[in-house]
Amino acid sequence: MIKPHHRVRQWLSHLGRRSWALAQTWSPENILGAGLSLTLIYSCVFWWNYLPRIQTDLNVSVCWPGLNFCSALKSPSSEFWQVLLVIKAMLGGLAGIGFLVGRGRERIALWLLACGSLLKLGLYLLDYRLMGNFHSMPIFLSFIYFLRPKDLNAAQLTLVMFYFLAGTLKLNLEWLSGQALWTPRVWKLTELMPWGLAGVVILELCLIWLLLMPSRPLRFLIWFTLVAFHLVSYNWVGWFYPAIMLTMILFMPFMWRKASSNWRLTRWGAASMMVLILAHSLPHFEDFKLRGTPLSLEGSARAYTLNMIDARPTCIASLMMKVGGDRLDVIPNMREYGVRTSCDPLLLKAYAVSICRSEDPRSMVQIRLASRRGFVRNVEKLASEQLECGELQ
Amino acid sequence: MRGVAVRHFIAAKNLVYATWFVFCIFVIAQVISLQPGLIRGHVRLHESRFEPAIVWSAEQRPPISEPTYLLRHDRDPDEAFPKIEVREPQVIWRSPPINHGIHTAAKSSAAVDESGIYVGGDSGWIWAFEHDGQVRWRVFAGASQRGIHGTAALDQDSVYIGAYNGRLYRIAKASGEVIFIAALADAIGTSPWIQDQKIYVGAETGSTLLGRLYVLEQDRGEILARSAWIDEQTHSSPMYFPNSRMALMGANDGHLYAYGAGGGSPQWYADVGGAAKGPISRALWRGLELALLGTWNHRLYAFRADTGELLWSSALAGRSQGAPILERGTHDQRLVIVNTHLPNEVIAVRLSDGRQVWRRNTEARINHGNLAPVTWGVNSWGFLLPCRETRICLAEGRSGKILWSVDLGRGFSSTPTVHNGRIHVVLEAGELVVLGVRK
Repeated sequence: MIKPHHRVRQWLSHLGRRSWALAQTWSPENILGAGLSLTLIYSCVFWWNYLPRIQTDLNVSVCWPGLNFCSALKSPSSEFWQVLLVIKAMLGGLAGIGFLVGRGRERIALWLLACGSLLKLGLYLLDYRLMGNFHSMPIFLSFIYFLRPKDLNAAQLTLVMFYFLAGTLKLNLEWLSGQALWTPRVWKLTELMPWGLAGVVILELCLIWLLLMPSRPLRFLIWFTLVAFHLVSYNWVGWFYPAIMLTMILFMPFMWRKASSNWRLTRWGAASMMVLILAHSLPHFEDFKLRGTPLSLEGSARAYTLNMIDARPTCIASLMMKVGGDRLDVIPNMREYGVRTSCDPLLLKAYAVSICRSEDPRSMVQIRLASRRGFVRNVEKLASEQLECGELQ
Repeated sequence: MRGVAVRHFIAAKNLVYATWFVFCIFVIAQVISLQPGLIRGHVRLHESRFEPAIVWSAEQRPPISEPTYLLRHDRDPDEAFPKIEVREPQVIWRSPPINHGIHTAAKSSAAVDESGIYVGGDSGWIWAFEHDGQVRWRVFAGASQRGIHGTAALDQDSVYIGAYNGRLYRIAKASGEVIFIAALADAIGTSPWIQDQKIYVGAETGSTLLGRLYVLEQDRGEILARSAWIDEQTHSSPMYFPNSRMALMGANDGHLYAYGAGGGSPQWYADVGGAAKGPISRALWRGLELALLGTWNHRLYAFRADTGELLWSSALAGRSQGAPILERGTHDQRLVIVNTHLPNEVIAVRLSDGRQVWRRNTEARINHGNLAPVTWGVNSWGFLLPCRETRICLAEGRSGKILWSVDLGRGFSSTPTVHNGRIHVVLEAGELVVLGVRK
């Protein structure tokens, strides 16, 4: 008679052997596919309360520029949005299993990943307050992967470009001095922080390119440094960002198992790099640089590119409403929706419009928004506008 | 050989490596030049504490002038108390409801001058009334769960008032246009003081309990100075002591602080044993400028305003957070009268040594507001106070004897304001009541 705990041990041992045998068959392409599928599950958890809260708030809609129909797509039911999130997570889960099991199921898994990513993109574009590069980066990489699943060089270059472009944003006094960051959650690391902050910039701008070099030890060294960086970054940004990044870079060591794993520039890699550079340059073009504001004072100038926590703007937002003889100093809670979009003129105007729509048509709302960087005393005006409520109803 | 080496060097691969190397040197140089604390191991993390700012500024501003009303009637020890008739008054008019009765802090008192009556409510609305009771305008101070509890300061053309949303408002008296809004902290429960074209106001944070004194320009609200943070909230309305050239303010940490116009660290501070939540009163005695303050330590204190030296302290029956009132004159037997909460009493002590002269139980439901000194006849003086459940009473100053009482229907913690013989009282949960003697 075998005792129950022996049976469990045997079963676990068998499971371990089978898993290891299966893992030996995993190709780096499948690992990347599984990783991208997993990000669909992460974002389901991340959005579980936040997305329904935004989408069931029928009063305020903050549409992306050019997608002004977003307010018509709102639903008063939280469950509706949570069902969509569950569908997205299930697509991600099934795709992930398909990639890991392999045996010809990769094609189905790829289509499941594409469907899940499209659903995520759709949800992402429903409201501007969902903006965040932790969502846009996996969507972009999934798009590249879907088009060229075998081209890991393109995926590798895309990831290197993510880090490099983020590094270009961090080469400023606010990041290097620590002013962009707030008090750490767990480890204080005060003594090491100046070196850490400078090290992140050097890692992202310079050392990250070593991931593409022929030397495998150097590649592994940089890869482990990235892992350490993301683990430590939990201290400030929480679990979601590190989880997304670690999952996306997980395929690299599997890729480097082969001796003939030297990186080379492919057509899709070059295309991806060009698209990312162009997107990163957009805020510098006059048409996209909203009201000519410097970067990171607001979120909207970076809506189509990376929007890192490289600076910490302080916003001064006011909505002054006139209803008959009364004046109301309506104070919008700009901090409620996160660091990156909290100083956004789009957000403030959306609040003003929502207030206006529920008031007497003869009312009017004056909008004022100013913002300043952490180290700068002077504030810069981002918005100054008067809305006649009658025109919005 | 050299030609081969040059050709080898400029081969595309090496050119990429060389460019990368130069780029790395550039980045490292930039990092070192930008990061001031790298070698010293110093970083400056983002401060989560409140950063003050002017959040609203009108392009056209009315002129500023000397104040026409400040919370304490006895701000100038040489100024006579406001005059009333000793006969029992009647209610002349009542406003719409001003207060819901939320929060235990003393309510905003009516700020009254020739131009009208201005009062903030715990609902968040700031009201302007004509003297006949007509509403002139209203301004809503948003995002403030506890509305307004501080009392407005007035000059010829403007109203200055702080709200529990942490913002100080300057509003045009005539139109209700908001002239400036200065966001100073999470909450302002104090009443602003205006002196030499500067506004002194205490503000506090809510997430971590901190408080500080701000000095603002009267015209535009620009922040001229601020004190260092005090490790507790500051509910005590600041008062400027002109002879000592210092603004004094109490704090919940059990200290009285004195600041110069430049803010920063206090010039002096004194231990008062318990929370100092009430306004401070000013007295002149034998050439000295004195600060009088009742505290939650069941004591009334008299300090020299210039040095912070304790002259005396007098035991009270209960907590005190109302501004002490001081009998007019120059003689040594002048009385200082202060009220206490639980038990609800009024106590008179001598200014010279703090010795108790008389005490009376007020039988009031609420007794943590300020007493309002008044005068009548030729030399008579006394004070208005909440008493006998929901009544307002007039008490004789030398004895504490009640001369009349009028039922208001509800209790009050605001300070009765007397202007042109009329008494303005804002009820704890209710309206502004204006009383007067009909001719």
